[in-house]
Amino acid sequence: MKLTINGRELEVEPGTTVIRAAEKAGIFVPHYCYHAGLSIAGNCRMCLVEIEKMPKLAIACSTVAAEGMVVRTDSPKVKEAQDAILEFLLINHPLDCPICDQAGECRLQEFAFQFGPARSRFLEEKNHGPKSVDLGRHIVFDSERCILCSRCVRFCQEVSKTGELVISHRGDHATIETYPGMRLDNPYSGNTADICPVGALTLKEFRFQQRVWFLKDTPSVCAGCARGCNVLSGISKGRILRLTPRENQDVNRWWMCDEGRLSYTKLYGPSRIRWARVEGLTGAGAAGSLPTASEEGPVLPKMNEGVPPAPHPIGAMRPGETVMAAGLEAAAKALEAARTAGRVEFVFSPRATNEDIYALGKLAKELFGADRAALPSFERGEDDFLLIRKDKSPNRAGALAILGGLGLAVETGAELAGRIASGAVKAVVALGPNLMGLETADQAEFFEPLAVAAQAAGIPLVAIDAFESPLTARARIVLPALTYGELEGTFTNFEGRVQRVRSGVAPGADGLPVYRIAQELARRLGQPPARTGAQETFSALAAEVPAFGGLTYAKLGGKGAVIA
Amino acid sequence: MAFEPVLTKNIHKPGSETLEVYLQGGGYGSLRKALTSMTPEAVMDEVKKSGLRGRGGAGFPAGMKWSFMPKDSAKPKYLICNADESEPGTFKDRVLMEKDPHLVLEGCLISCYAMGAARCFIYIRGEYVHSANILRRAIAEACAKGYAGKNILGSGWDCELTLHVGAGAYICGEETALMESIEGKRGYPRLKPPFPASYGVFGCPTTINNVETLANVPFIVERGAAWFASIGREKNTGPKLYSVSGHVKRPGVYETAIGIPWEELLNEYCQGMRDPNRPLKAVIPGGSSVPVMRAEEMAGVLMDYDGLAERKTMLGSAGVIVMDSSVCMVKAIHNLTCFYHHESCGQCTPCREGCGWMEKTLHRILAGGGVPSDPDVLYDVASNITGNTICPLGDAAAWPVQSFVTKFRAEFDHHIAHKACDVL
Repeated sequence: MKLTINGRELEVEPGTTVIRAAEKAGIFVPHYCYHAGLSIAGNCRMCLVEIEKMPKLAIACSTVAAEGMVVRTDSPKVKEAQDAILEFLLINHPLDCPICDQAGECRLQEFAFQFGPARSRFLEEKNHGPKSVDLGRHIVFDSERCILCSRCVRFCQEVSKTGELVISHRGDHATIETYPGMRLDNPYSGNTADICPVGALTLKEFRFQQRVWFLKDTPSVCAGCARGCNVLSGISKGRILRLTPRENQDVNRWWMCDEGRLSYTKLYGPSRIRWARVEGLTGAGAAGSLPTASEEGPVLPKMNEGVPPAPHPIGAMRPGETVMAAGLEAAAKALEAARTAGRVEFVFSPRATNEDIYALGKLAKELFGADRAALPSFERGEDDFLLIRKDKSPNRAGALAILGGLGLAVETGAELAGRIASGAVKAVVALGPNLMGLETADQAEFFEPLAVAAQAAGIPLVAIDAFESPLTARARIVLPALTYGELEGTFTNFEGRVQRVRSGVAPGADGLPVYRIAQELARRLGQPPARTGAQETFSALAAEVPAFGGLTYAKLGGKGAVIA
Repeated sequence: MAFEPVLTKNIHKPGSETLEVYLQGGGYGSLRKALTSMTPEAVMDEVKKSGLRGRGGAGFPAGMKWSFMPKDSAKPKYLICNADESEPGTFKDRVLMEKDPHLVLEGCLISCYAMGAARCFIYIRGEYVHSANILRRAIAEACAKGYAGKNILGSGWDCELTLHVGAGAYICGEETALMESIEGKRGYPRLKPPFPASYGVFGCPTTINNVETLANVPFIVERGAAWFASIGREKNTGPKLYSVSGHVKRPGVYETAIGIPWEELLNEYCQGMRDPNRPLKAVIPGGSSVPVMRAEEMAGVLMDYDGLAERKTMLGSAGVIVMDSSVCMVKAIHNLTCFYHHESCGQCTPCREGCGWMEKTLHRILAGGGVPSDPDVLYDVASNITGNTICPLGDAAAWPVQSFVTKFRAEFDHHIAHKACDVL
């Protein structure tokens, strides 16, 4: 079907609305209430366009394209209507942009600038209404800023299917409220703040934290569960300040859950493992003192600038050696000794990246002849109808595919603990539960018996993790890993879609990504040095594991690709 | 004054609201005639030929509206009788509902038969408690005696009548907001298309007509389209109720042939202006939403759809509001604008924001704070509402302001310049 918009002839599917047809042609029609993921409301009237043979302007969001339709989105009549609507929307809007969190990403600001009149003729007192209304766990509402586009109401009806929100009162006193006795506490409530075109709904966790133009948005994926929702990681002040969903129709459409959205908040707690530590080695850097660059003590790693120094547990380092290097050295020595005495076993993590699993798997197989791999699972709750998965790991599918591809049989923690108790195992290398800073209730069930068994057997347990856990509490050697936001790599979601997780924050620990730790251990155990980045590691993975065959970071692009 | 009443022929009979009195006057004879001797198509045809136009305000030909209903529909079809009568200055439907409720019901039933509708919802405004009680009793009586419900008059045809009382919002008189209200939702007008004939109440094909429109149907069936079309003139046919309020000697509801000359309505039916020292100043001829007319613009006008359209106003609901020289037009439009501001549903931007803006500006002018640009801004704000809203009530709020500012500009300017009224 053909129609003409601003003189350009377009071919569209029957049933396409004018706003979508224009969008396809790269012609932007300003709008507030229209959202591709919601039903058509047609209330804001911002998308009025001129259509030949129609007596009045028509809204582009609900008008279906017809054969031969001639549309103008830039005619004087349209411009006049846009001026009118913006003037109307602004008369009762507080214009408190300097203290509004939406400033910088506000559709009212943007359209007033691009399409609106330069001044208002409104001489009256603005309407006043409730401010800072606590709607729910994460959302605060400012009724004066609200333009009643009803996106949030429709979201709760149509997407989260919880229906907490309603428009109450009439006319210019109409406002958004929760139904009596209800709170906006559905698992997806944060999306209402995202889709609010103005600063009426804001996220408590991000309110007043940063002007948005200081945020560097890094495209990434959420690590909170097996869905792998595409996100933008808003980074400033050296940390992630918010996660917002990034559209990917194959994964999360436009949405993400509140738990995933706020997963970043757990990254900046006190339990971060900042330094490597080795049991029994305490020296100049013992509790209370700082590592220093001298003959007597270890070196303060330069990469840690900006991170508050933590007490350093490793002494007896060679001058010029970093804490991490000393930890790796100690780990390599312990593993070398164990290798000659018997088996060394490995615990993998569905929270590690594909690159991590691959590099550690190669180490296990090639240097220790491993044929098994223990793999915990982190599950909580149930899969829901929208996005949330009970598997709270971003990469279980990837871990299984890679371990299988490397010929490592997956075993349970209990099986491994049994073999440790039998005396056959001489050392264990374990990825901990908290690589991505996430917590699940069942993490102790897997790790505690393992760590206890290793302790009882008197064998070295080398733990690699980003945050303290029951595992690291009992490990003889702890190697700090980089965590979410600091590392590059890929996760494979439950549907087999491989997606890139991106770094944007400087490391908050004297640590390395897991795949680099594996490489460093391999080097110290006699393999030729291989210092490769995440991308090269992924290429090697793709070359070796058939399921990943042919994939490259370039092919993954922004939306990922599905493994064979 | 020679017009023989049709719609109001029963209203002065004692007990006119009872089935018994209605039957004595030949009531439900038209329903019987339609059911026994006419096909639904024949009824629809007769209504088309009669030239009956909607009495609610827009004046759309009723028969043509009916013909938009799908012939074959997997879903049930519905008729809605719009008894919301909320337009300021309009009180004609109330007379029919209270004095001759069975006429209204008979009109609903015959119309349902013509369209193949299984049910008629009668949506009445919440303030019409008395009318609602009368209608409720009438429905119960009609059902009990076999004039409504199952197997009507032994014909095997079923049709339910459901009275739905609104909660008192002006917006619920708008046809699609009314449907939302029946469905139990907030009274917000719907986007069109889809139109009610394809997607109406509960998503089913629906026709909605005004009370007075439907009350004409039994007479068209009884006396024929030719009789109906002989009243009035081409495209403006049939009897018509006018509700006249304001500064006339005898305000009230009058039935005449449609298109009565203005002077005849004023001087003969209403017996002229109330105070001989206060001459006619302005008339709102069709309910508060239509453009106001200066006295001289009313001279010789025929009070029908086309007569008033020629003078750039509308017959609307035929709620005629008459104002004499004692009326301050700034105060008058402020009063009306308060109503529209209060009643704007707030769904779409122009009406939601514009109505409040206009009211605030008018209030400021009346309080002595007007500035010279105010009338122009008022006109512009009203113009920015018209044509840009979801429903026609945006226009309804804006036209009065536009017309008052245009036609009585001097009064606005005087208020602004002197901080006082020039009308005593």
